[in-house]
Formats: sequence, C-alpha cells, structure tokens
Amino acid sequence: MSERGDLLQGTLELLVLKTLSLAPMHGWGITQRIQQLSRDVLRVNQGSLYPALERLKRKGWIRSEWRMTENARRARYYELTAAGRRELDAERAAWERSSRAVNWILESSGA
Amino acid sequence: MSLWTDIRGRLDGILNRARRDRETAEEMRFHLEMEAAQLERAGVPHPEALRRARLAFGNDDDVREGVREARGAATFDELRGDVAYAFRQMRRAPGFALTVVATLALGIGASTAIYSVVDRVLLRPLPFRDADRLVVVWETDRKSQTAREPSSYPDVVDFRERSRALSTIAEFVATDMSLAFPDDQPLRLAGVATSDKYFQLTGLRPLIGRTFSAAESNAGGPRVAVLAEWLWRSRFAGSPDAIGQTIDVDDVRYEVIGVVPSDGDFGIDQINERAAYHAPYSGEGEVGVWIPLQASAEQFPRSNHPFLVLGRLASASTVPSAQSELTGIAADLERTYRNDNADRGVFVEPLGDVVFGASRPLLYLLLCAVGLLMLVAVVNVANLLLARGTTRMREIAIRSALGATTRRVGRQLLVESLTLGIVGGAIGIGCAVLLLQSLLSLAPADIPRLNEVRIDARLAWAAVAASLAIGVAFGSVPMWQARRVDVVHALKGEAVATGGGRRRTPRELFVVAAVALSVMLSVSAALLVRSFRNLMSTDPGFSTATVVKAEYQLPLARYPRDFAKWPNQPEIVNFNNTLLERAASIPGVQSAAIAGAHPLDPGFTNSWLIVGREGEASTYPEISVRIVSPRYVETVGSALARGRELSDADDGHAPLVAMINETAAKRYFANREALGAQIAFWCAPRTIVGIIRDERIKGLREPVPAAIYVPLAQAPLNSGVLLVRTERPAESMAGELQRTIWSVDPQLAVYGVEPMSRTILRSVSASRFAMIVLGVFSGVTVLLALIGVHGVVSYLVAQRTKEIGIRVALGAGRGTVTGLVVRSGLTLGAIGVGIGAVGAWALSRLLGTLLYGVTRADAVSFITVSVGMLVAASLSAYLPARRASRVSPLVAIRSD
Repeated sequence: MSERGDLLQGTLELLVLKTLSLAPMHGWGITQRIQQLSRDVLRVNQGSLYPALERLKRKGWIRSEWRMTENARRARYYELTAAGRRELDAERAAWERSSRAVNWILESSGA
Repeated sequence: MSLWTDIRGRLDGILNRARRDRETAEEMRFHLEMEAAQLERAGVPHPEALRRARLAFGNDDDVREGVREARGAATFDELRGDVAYAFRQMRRAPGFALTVVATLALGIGASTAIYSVVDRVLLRPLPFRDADRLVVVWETDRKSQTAREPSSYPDVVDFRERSRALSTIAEFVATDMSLAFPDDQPLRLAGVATSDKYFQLTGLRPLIGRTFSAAESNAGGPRVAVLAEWLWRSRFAGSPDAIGQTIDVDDVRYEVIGVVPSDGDFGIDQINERAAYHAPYSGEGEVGVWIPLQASAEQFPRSNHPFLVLGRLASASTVPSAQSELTGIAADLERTYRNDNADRGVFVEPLGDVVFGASRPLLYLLLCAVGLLMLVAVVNVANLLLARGTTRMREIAIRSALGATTRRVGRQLLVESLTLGIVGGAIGIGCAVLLLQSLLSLAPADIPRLNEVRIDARLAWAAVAASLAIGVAFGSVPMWQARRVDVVHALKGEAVATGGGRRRTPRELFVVAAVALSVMLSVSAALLVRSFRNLMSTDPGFSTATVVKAEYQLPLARYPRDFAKWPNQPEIVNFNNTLLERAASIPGVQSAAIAGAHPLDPGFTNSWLIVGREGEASTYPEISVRIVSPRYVETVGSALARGRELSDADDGHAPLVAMINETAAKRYFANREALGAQIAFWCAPRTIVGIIRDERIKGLREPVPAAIYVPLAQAPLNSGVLLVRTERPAESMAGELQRTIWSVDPQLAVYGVEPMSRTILRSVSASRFAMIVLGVFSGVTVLLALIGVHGVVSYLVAQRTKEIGIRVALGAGRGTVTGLVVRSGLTLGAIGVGIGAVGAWALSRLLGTLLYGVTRADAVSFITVSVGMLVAASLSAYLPARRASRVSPLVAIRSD
C-alpha cells in the first residue's frame, strides 16, 4: 500500500468514527452518509471501508451487531464505543491541528 | 489496543473463520442489494441496477481478503496457502521431494536410532550411588599371566580388614541357578550370591521388603532371597504378598524378603565376561534372584578362587592409591601364605572401565559413522535444495514480476523446505523405530543395558527439532538465491547461462564433501568386512554346521559330590551314561557326547606339571582343562593328530589318562615324545594317550591355549553340555535334545540349546554388528554421494548446453562431448576420494580391536574403495553425459 493510502486510511477511520457518532449505522449507510455529508466529493470504496471497520472493531473503538433495518432486512450495524468516542475527540483535535498547519504552509506568501 | 485484545481478536479470527467469513459475505450481499435498490429508485431497471452495483462494488474477493487481513487472520491463511502450495510443489516434482524426504528420513532415522543406543548405554547415569567411586578388585597371577582372576574368600576377608583406601568391599558369585516356585517347573536364570555389603556398597535399595541383614549374610544364617523386580512382577504380579513366600533355588528352600530394581544387576555380565574364569553363567537375561553367600573359610579355602569383588573408594582415596595399598596387602599375604598366594597380586579397575571397556569404542565408532551419514545426508539435501532453487529461478521471477514481495516469496520457499523437513523428520522417527529393532537384534549381548534401549519422547523431539533446523537452514538458501534473481534476465532464461568461470560452486564443494565422507565410511566398512571374512575363515578346529548343544546343571542336592569316593559319583555317572545312551538313539543323531564345556567355552584352567620335569612347572601358565566323554572328538568333528581317543574303558576304575592338544604338545614336548608322558594336576598323575587337533576354545580371535582333555568318567562334573552330531537340520534338533534331558531328569533346567553355528556367530557378534551397521551406512552414503554427483553433472550440462551445442556445431564428436562431461564428474570424484582416503586413515583408528588379520592401512580396502568410487562417480556422470552428447547444435544454441 502506498504512502497516500496510509494517509487516506487514517482519514477514512476518522470519517467513519464521526459518521457513527451521529447514529449507529450499517456499512452501506456509512458510505451514503459520508458521500452526502461531503456533498458528493468523497466516495468511499467498499474495498477500503470494510477492512477499516474490521480494524476499528479490533481496536475496540466500535462494536457491531446484527439488527433489522426499517425494511425488515438483516444488516450489520456498527456503533461507537466509549473508547471510540474518546478516540474521535483526540483524532479530531489532531486533524484540526495538522490541517491548520497545512493551510498555513499553503497560504504563506513564499517569502 | 492491548496485546491480549489483539491476540484474542486474531485467535477469534482464526478459530471462527468460517462463521466470520459467512457474516462478511452476508454483509457484502446486503451492501450490493442496497446499492441496487438505490439505482432502481433512480429509474434503472432491475438487472442493469444489479450489474452496475456489482461493478461499483469491485471484486468482492478483494474486499473479503481485505477484511480477513484486517482481522489478523491473513498471516495464518497465507501460511495455509503456502503449505498447500508446498505440497503441490512436492507432487509436481516427486523425484526431488522423494529424494529429499528419503535422505532426511534415513539420516534422521539412523542417527536417532544409534544415538538412542549410545544415550541409554553410555550416557545415562548408572543405577548405583556414586558409581564412579566403585572399583572391581581382581586378583592377578604372575605365573599364568592373568590380570583378572576372582579372589579366594580368605583373601577378601583380609582385604576388607586391612584396607583403608576402600571403605566397603563385597564379594559375590553370579551364576545360573535353577529357580522353582511352588508347584511349577524349575526355570534357569541368572542369580547372584552375595552379602549385605553388596547392597551397602552399590546403594541398591529394595522396592519393597528389605535386603540381607548381616546375620543373614554370615555362614549358617537363615536362607532368605531377594527377587529382581521383573521376576516379582511376572511371578507375583507385583504383589506385596510375595514377601514371606518360599522359592527353591537349586533345590534349596529360601524365603523371599524383598524386591530390588531389575537394573540392580548392572555390570555383572561384563565382570563375569572379563574374568579369567567364572561360575557357569549364560549371560542371557537379567539377574532374577539374590541369595546370601554365607561363605566361610572352611568351605572356601585360600586355594579356591570363586569370588568376584567390588569395592568402594573411601572419600580421600583414588584408584592408584587403592591399587598401591592393596598391592602391599597382597605382597604381605604372599609372604604369609607361600603355597596358596604365590605369584598373586591385585588389580584395581574402575567399574565403569570393566563394564564399558568393550562396548564404548564400538558404540563411539557407530556414533561417528552415523554422524558421517547424517553429514552426507545434510550436504545432499542442501545440494538438492540449491539445485531446485536454481531451476525455480524463473518461477520466482514470474512471481516477483506479478508483485509478490521478496518477503512473501522468501517465506513461501521457507515453508516449502520446512514442510520437507517435517515430513522427512516424521518418517525418520518411524525409520528410527524400525532401525532400532534390527540394531538390537544384531547387537552383541555383552553391551550393558541394551535391554533398556528405546526411543523416548525426548529423542523424538530432538529429531523433530533437527529436521526443523535443517528445514530452516536450507530454506534460507533458495531465499538467499531468490533475493539475487534478476527478474528480466531470469525471465529471458539468461541468468543461468552466464556461468563459465572455473570457480568451484558450493554445489561442487558439497559433492566433493559427500564423496569424501562416503569414502571414509566405505574404507572402514571394507576393513571390517575383510576382518570378518578372516575371522569366519579361521578354522575353529571343530565342525560348526552339524553340531547342536544343550547345557544343564545338576543340582548338588540330588547329585552330591563325595570327594571320599571321587571320581566314582554314582548319581552323576548314572545320569551321564543314561543321557548319552538316549541321545545317541535319537533318530538322525550320528554321535553324542557330554563335555564340561562346549568347544567355544573357555571353561577353566588349572596349575599342572609334567612328571619328571617338576622343576619347569613354575614357568608354566595354567592349562585349560577340558572334561569330555568318549566319542567327543567324533561328535564335535575334531580329529586326533596322534595316539588314541578317550574310550568307554577309561572309567573311574581304570588308570588315569588324558589327551593334550597340539598347542600343548608343541609347546611342552617339542623334541620329546608326548604320548606316554605323565601330566599331574589335582594331585594325580595322568598318562597322555592321544593328541587332539587344536580347538579355538577362547574364540576365533584368540590364540589356542594349551589344553588337556580328561575323561568325564574320571572327573565327573555337575555342569555339563550335551553335544550331538546330526544330519538333520540343526534347528529341529533343539526340542528333541531338551526332551531327552528331561526324560532322564524332568527337574533339570535346560538352557543354551542351539546349533554351534549360532554359538560361533554370537562369539563374533561385535565384529558382525559393526560390519553390518557400517556396511549399510556406507552403502547409503555412497548412494547419496552418487546422487549428488549425478545432480551436479546434470546441472553443469544444463548450464553448458549452449557451449556444447557450439562444440558439436564446430565438429566435436559424441565421444569428445561425453568425455568432457564425464571428466567433470570424475574430477569431483577424484578430489573427494583423495580427501576421503586421508579421512579414512584417521577414522580407522576407531576400529581398534575389531580388525582381525588386516591392518589399518590395508591396501586392498583402500584401493578397492577408491577405484570403486571413481568408477561409480564416472557412471553417474555418464548418464547426463550421454544426454549432452545427443544435443543437436541447433536446439542447443536456441535453447536459451
């Protein structure tokens, strides 16, 4: 996996945590939600999403549960754990710090 | 994430793999359906929606794989894949896999088997407390030049009273006893008569009950017996009720007071074996019973030497200090008892040396041999894996080109060699079990503790570990090769054709090593084969093919020896006459005789003199005394050199007569007439009436000692051996002999029933054992070495196909090409043979006393092996050479 992939992976996990902090959701729902919240800019690839969910689960930040959807279909729902909530806060802070830093660099006047 | 959560997660991933996979699949399906449903809502018709959803989803295998990897189960899955791949590879190249597995299995099997013998026999602690402080105290006789004689009872008492260097001294006799349990047939087994001191000295503790008290050990004490554990388990089912039961030992009643471990008889076989003479003792089976000796000076005078002596060094003393102290005591006794102790000294020998003296060099030789075999096996496996790695360069290159990482390819190669190692190791342990069985059935019986040898779990693990280590070690070789694979060149098939420098490759060095090692083993094997042939072609002086023997012991209780009427002992004489008569009338028996000892039993010796030449007697070594019935010469297939044989007329009332053997005649009657001369021993003169051809009574290796043959009727014995000459197959005779002896006395225990041909084979069993084992090992190593030569030459041919093609195109004939290739194999062989010959010279030092009639530097062995090896190497190079010579230049030049 390339370095860019690693960056994306970390970002994807942050986005998933944020999405789940709003409400428990199944995998497809998460992709829809991210797409919608990013105003169609970000599209999550399933090949990345499900491994990421598995990783988050192993880290104990989310847990999963089989439930019925509104349409009475069985689906695996993911939900944030307390540890996941703390992690989300920490990562959000880290993200804001680094994106601010990146912006400073990009907006510097080249002097 | 804690380590524990991680491990639990991974474990869960591995263990519940199927369920987790199912769930993932369901999740994927759900995702797809949702995607499709969304598209349908946007107006896309159903089948098209599904198709597009699937397209958007991508390869769901990839997703599943990604999830699995995230789960932590990936490593395990890949490993399973690698193992499965390894087995597929083995199936695809069965010749290669078979050779590697067989080589490993042979190497590991042979070394595990041999090592388990060495471990049990030599390396395990002895069953006695501080066994390295135990010594055997022999008496020596300067006159007969024997270093290891048993002691007289009064001498032992004197040693015990005076010695400070030895803290404890115990005397014992180990002999065959007939043991009868109430209401049962007597059985013949080894027993030991000794005192309480023996148990103190060895630290042998009873499992139940007790051992002898001091009072029970003294003359006139109560008759009590201690059983060995094996006998107690088989006869009393290991019940404590055995204590207090009675048994009959040689028709005398004893009370069982205790049980000692079966290995309490440690060393007794070997002490008897090394002694110049000993009580009748077959050495078969373990000691079963221990009875108190209850000796007294009246019963065992100083002139009588029946007792073997063990001593324990006192805390401050050493073997040399004990030796010098006891030498002083012996010199003192010699001065005090001029008649009985003249020329007598003492030899203190560590028990370990006595017990292991004969077998240690033999076992170390085998260990060395198996070490060489293992080395050749390892070298060969390394070579095969190297070759395999080379031929697989292209495959590895393809995998690399398709994106496999170096680590991934390396791991897969490692798994392949590990799989080979494990399979080889597992089969090897099976081989070891089988090999050990044949080893034990071939091994000479005088190797101590051989009955305890088995392959235990510890050794099996060691074997598995060794095969794993080999797997890892050689798995890394192709890995290391793979690292250097230049993908582009390998794919074009050029990487392997760039050679051409004349530097020796590791593969060639390996082959040279294998050839050298196998030459070392083969020369040793050849030396042993030639020794054995010399041994077997030695004329034993009697016929082995047609003579069957059966031994027995007449118990003193029913066959008393009354010295007042000697030699007329009616019970014994009756028994002998009846037995001879019945044996001679067995159908198929041509002739029957009774002797005190069979022709390969050295029997006993006695001091003697020639009447009229008494002055010389002090220089004579003791003479071997053979007691034989009439028709002995005819029965054993010996012959008279001169004079007459002992006849029925030479009975207890007739004048005393004797025969001497040719050695005695030559040595003592060189320029005189032996016939008619008189020899005196046991205080009575005997007239020499015949001279018999030499019989090798001390075994085939030993020179024949001077011997005198005395008529049985004039010297009746309680121990005897019935000998018959028969034209019937010797094997079918055994039962008949046993029944015949029982028809005379059903109470007798009969033992050692076998054709003399088997007795003689057993007498050379150490030589035979070493010869067969080394022969097999050298055969295997030669085969491995030849496989190596063939492999390397084939490889060279493959490498040089283009060059050969060019040569052929330029007009080189087939012969030239064949010669070129064979020469390359021959060169490797010659270097190996040269190095191997030097190594063989060094190794042959270990053969020591196993050699007979050949020297370490035996030219025949060295030349035969060297030439044979060179011829074999050329032959194994010839096959690829012929292939090379048929190369069509066009094909060859294009082949790459």
